[in-house]
Amino acid sequence: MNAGSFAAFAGAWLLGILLVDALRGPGPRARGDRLLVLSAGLLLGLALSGTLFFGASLLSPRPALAAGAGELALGLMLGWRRWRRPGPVTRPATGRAGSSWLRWLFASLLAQALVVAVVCGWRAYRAEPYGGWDAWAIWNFHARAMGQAGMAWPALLAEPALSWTHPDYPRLVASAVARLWAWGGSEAPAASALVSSALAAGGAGVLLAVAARVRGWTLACAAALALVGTPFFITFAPNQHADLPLASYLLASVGFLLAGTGGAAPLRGSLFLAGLSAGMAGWTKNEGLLFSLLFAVLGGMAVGRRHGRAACGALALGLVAGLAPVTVFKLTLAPGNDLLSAPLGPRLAGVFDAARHRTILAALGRDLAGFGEWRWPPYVALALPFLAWGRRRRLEGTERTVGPLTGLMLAGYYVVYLLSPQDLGWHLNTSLVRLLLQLWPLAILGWVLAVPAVDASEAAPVPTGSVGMPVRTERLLGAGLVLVNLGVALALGTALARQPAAREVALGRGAAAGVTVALGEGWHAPERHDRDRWAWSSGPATLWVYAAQRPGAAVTLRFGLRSSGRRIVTVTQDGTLRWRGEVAGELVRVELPGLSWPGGVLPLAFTTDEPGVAEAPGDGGRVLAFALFNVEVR
Amino acid sequence: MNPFPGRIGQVWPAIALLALAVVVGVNLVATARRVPPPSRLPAPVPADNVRRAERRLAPLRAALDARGVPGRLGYIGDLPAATMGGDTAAMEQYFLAQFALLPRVLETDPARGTWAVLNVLRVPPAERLPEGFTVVEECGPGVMLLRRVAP
Repeated sequence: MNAGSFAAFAGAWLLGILLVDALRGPGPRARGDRLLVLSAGLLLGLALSGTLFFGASLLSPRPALAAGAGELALGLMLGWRRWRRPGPVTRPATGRAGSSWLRWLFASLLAQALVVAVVCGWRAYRAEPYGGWDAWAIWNFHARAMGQAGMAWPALLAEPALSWTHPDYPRLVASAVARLWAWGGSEAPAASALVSSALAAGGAGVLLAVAARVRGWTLACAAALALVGTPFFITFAPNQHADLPLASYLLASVGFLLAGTGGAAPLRGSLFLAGLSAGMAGWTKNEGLLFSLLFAVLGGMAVGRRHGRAACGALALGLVAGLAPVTVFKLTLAPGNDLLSAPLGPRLAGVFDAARHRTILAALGRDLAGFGEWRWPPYVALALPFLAWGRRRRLEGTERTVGPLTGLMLAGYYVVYLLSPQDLGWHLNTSLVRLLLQLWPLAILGWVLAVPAVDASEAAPVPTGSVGMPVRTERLLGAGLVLVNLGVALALGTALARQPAAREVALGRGAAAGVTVALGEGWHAPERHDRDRWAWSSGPATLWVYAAQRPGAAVTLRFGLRSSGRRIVTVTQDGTLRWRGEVAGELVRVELPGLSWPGGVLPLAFTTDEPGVAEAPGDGGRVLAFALFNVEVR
Repeated sequence: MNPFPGRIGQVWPAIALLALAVVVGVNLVATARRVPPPSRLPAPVPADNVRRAERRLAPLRAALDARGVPGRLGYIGDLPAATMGGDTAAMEQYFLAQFALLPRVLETDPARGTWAVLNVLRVPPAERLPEGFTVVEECGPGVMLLRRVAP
């Protein structure tokens, strides 16, 4: 990924910030406002710039330039509007808050969780730079087609031989990726991973901002923690699918809806942005079209009932604008959808098929428990605060739409499975966890809206400055927490940096820093129990000692060997004997001093005089010769 | 009914949130252990399938460009088109080849066109050479550019 891609990304973000800041309305400044502008700006900026690129790719052989001109014009227009608009009203501070230590604690925990999440996300990206199967077979495939076929890409993707790439799928993500690739002049997977990660991070930011606005920072940080503490969210964020981007647009729709209706008078700009985000959900994935419909009905009813037709009109206008690209795409370019184009008659029979209901419900039960790939599912912890039932919060106005929206989306997915022409088991196994992940952030928002307050000062949406401990105390507390966090982040960073890769068994320290010992051929996957780490060989095996550069200085390798029966094990380096001895059930300590090589990989060959013995099939059926224990390099 | 009235009821949500933080911590630690860092050793072959396919098919792509082969080609993989659909590995190999060779379109029925690509990993190339085609260029192990010589 190069400067061109970075500039294109930054340009998109700036455009989104201008869009949100110019349109959100001049209401009083509330908690999380800036974060909402930044996060939603990221989401809408990538959507808007990608959509302009999509349009330009149909009309111009050089879509990046044509779309860039459009972005510039739009940016200037929004900047002018922003400059002309009066700034948000900041209400004066009026009182003191109760304890805010919990807020600082959760902010710290969130910061630390983000460090781990970013590192794990980076690792997931490195393992699959082009993302998982659907990422390269659908989303990046479409982006690559847009870039390589020029204006003829619609004809290319309409080829019957490419029907497996689902050419009817909406193009927001593919367009955003193709735009970065076009500006960068190369199809760097880092650019598509950046788009993917940014669209997920933007959603997390919107969740934090909206929850802070409505419930205060403590609960907002707890909600963000629940999301960032979902392993599937972390590893899927850079995986270049469209599910998390969709989840983010769902959140942004509801977030702007709450922001636009939280005060006495509706903010039409925010409602327009709510509609626009809902439309962009439909431009992200077909499931988003269902959301757009539900949002139009439920959101429209909630807004219309309390704030009248003008507010409802702003919401509808945004929705129409957001749905315009996908409408044009579906009506003029997209072939039929595989789920909808099959004859409906036979599929309707599925509605009355009890076995299909049972299969879907069983999969739903299984995946609800585990879709997040948690070690400990968070449901009980999320339910615990509600034991203080008397302090639960009653939802007001448009907040009441979050639960029905989530529930009806889930019901919609249920019906789609029921009517699916695909093999039902395969369809459920390959998609249900992703669909649940789409709704998870919205469900967390629903949770944070209803959960009992932890701090009376943050129980209601209030402008910045109206609550809080004395400024000096707060600054001291903040500085202390920053120091503590830096320390914890340093410790976390060190621990993560010292973590071995999948087949690495030892990392050098001190004078041996930079030396890595890894399993080569002939070893089964490493195992561990308590402090012991070992790997079984199936017979002859190679251990790699690696350092990028190692001129002169020798290292010592220590490890243990054991075997299920008596055997002689020999270790050689470039044909030279380094160790030979009898190995049996008791651990034999081995030390190989004076290993020296100029750099690169030093292979150590392990051989034995007896063949490996097969495990019982119930234990895995592996062939086991000898095991290498607790390798150390000094 | 409220099981925690009074003062306990007031602090209970905070205690519950701390429990949530513990759960999140456990999940994050488990994630860090489950998702190891990339190997520090330079890999001779990329670990991910897409990069491997791109590298493997790069000479073929260059050959197609050099000969100006038009947009549609036949595709011959490890398995015949009729049985390929039931084999995930064969389908993945086909999809990856299509991803790597865009904007050309690979059709699993080579009978339709003049040009074809042969991309085999599990069987000797000779086993899958279709009748009426000749090898124009060998582009690496198991990868060939073919041209029809007889109808």
